Amino acid sequence: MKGFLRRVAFYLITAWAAITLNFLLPRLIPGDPVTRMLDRFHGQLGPNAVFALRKLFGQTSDNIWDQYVDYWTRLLHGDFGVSFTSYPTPVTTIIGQGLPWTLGLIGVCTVLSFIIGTGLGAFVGWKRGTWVDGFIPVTTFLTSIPYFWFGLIVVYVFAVVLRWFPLSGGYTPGLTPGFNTDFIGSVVLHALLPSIAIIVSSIGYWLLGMRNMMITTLSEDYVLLARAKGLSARRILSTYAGRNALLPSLAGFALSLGFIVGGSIITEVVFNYPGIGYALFQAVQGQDYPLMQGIFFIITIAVLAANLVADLLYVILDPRTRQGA
Amino acid sequence: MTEWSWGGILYWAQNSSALAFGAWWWFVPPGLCIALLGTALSLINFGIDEFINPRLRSAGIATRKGAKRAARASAAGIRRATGRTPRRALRRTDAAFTRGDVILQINDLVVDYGSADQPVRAVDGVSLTLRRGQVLGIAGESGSGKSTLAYAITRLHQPPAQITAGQLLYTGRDGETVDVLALDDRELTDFRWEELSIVFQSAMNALNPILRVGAQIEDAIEAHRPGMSGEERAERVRELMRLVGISADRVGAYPHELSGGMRQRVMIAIALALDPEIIIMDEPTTALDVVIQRQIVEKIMELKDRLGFSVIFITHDLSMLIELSDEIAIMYAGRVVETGAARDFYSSPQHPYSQGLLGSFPTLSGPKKTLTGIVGSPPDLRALPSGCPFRTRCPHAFEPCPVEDPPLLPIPTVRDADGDAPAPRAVACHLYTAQQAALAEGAAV
Ligand SMILES: Nc1ncnc2c1ncn2[C@@H]1O[C@H](COP(=O)(O)OP(=O)(O)O)[C@@H](O)[C@H]1O
Ligand code: SF4
Ligand SMILES: [Mg+2]
Repeated sequence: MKGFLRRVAFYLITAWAAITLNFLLPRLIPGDPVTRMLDRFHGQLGPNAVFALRKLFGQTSDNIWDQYVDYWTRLLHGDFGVSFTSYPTPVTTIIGQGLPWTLGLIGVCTVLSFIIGTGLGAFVGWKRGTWVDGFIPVTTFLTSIPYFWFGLIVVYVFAVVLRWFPLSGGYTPGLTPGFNTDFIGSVVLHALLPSIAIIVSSIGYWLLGMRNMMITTLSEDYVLLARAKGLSARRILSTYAGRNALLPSLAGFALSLGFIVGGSIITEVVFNYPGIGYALFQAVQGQDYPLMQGIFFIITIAVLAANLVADLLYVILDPRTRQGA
Repeated sequence: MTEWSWGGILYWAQNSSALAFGAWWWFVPPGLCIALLGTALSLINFGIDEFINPRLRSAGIATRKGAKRAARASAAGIRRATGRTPRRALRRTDAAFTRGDVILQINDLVVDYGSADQPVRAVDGVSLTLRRGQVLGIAGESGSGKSTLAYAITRLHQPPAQITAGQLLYTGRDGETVDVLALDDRELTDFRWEELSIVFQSAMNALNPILRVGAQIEDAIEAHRPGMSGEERAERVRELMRLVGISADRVGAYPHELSGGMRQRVMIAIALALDPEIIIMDEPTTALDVVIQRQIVEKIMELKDRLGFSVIFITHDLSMLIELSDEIAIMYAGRVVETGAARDFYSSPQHPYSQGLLGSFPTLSGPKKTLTGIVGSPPDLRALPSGCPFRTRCPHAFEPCPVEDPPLLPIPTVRDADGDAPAPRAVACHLYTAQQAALAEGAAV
């Protein structure tokens, strides 16, 4: 119980620090970004937006403490301000539109490539010294490919030249989003190409890590004892070798879950996919600070949540961490 | 942008939509170069890993090579069983090797580590006899090949270790003798744990950290008794726990929740799970403090008398061995240098190495002896001295020692005070050449 409370306190402090940093960063930008931005928008911003902008960059007359309290109040009310580039849409709306696409595509692919990669890695480690060792150079090569390059090649070959897959978007424009076969089919078709690119380029990482852990674990005394006891290969592979070998991969997996949001930029830009990463890319290009701040907040929360998930998984899979809990 | 980097080319290619205009040569080569360079670096890294981590290394090619070589060796010297024989009714072997009370006969066993060109001979022609219901103690410094021998007897040795010669004959309760080295994988799986089980050196490493100890006892039963119901198995697990002196409500404990002594008891319970005829114990008490050692040893002796199994007990502590064994073998550099009854070892160890070993440890009970010990360190098996492998450390070394490796031969024995028949003794040392020759002559006459 004490350990659990300590963890919770750790997460709360980390979240507080990250959110405070998010508050401070715009205030540290040198010069007068607000005036420059107002020039860029040629008076298209309403007085509310101008006020919000000054607030964001700490240029109101309030002292910094009042600003900080105000920042937290708005945050707790789910108010991230208004986007400049798609003025006057609130930031929350833009994030709300992008998040399901990102979670759906990159989230599912991250989980899939972890499952397939560790599964194959366990198999390759188990069958070491046979033909399956041939997997190693191949997956190493796939992992070494620069990701956006690979993505562009895939887009060029399959979407531009062969025209098997659509070039951009999350679904065919004109379809009504909802639970109908047309829409879902279209979503799957649009997601296929980026999915393949993500899985192919990240699977090797899990495969190699799991293979090495598997080989190390297989030479443990408890695996030898399991063999000596006459247990079936399936039981040794799952309960003795596999589960123990999996533990170190879990931390990496949790981190990669946390990077779903932050790491989605390249994929979504290359494949023109309407997720958070694409929104962040546009926000950076348009110097849309409120949107950036909102997305950074989401990324922070995602990373912390992923770590929490990792902690929980550890507790479930490794009884040694349950001590004193 | 004055300098052209691969990444820069990629960036400009993408910016100017090189792909869309079909100018793939802007784009494909730099990416491919990056990928190949990355692969090359990872493979180097991978190679370094395999080199540094011996586990990764030995697990690779050695597995295949070792298997092939083992197959060749067995084709050359060791007979293989042909066809499958039903469990517990294994083939009879030469009746010449079957003696009424002998349960395990080890003949000239040789175990090598590593490649054919430079093998390390960790067990070098070991012959031992284990009798039903008795304790055969094996003592020797660390590195003398005790664990290698224990793994070889159970055929649990891992590459690069391989049995290159010898014979292992097991005689079951039904009087049938089995050539253990000739068993195929299925027969071996049945044989192990039913007839012969092992307690590993470190209980901490030998228990799966993420599985409850009850489950680790139970799955041995489950694997060998598929017909048993879950309730019967659970009852058997509780019985085994009580047997080794752990309260049955600890079945749900994880290994890290138990003390070192308790973990070792769990290991013994696992070894007892199928009521085997022989249990091999490889330093079962080495990691424990003296009081716990005492308790565990007493537990083992009590169980042995109650259940009637035989024990091969391995330790580097000769004084402890003398108290609990019937017969003792001393190992040095992979060979047996002295065998005899335990009581003879106490009163008169013959080989200079045995004398040194006995001087190294105070007896658990009884008078304290002066600790003379053995000078020097255990030998490097790849560079053994000529002649007697012990000669560089032996206080009695004399002329023949560097010239000839002394064979293990019987020496004369005397009737003890009670008039019991003397137990046979053998020693490998030139100091006894004359006695051994006289004995051989006497036997020949
Ligand atoms: N994996 C291995 N590879 C090569 N040589 C080994 C390996 N394991 C043990 N040996 C050699 O075998 C010798 C005997 O080791 P071991 O059987 O563990 O001795 P003990 O159990 O008596 O301490 C060691 O001195 C070492 O040289
Ligand atoms: S043979 Fe020589 S060197 Fe070896 S133990 Fe005997 S006396 Fe010592
Ligand atoms: Mg050992």
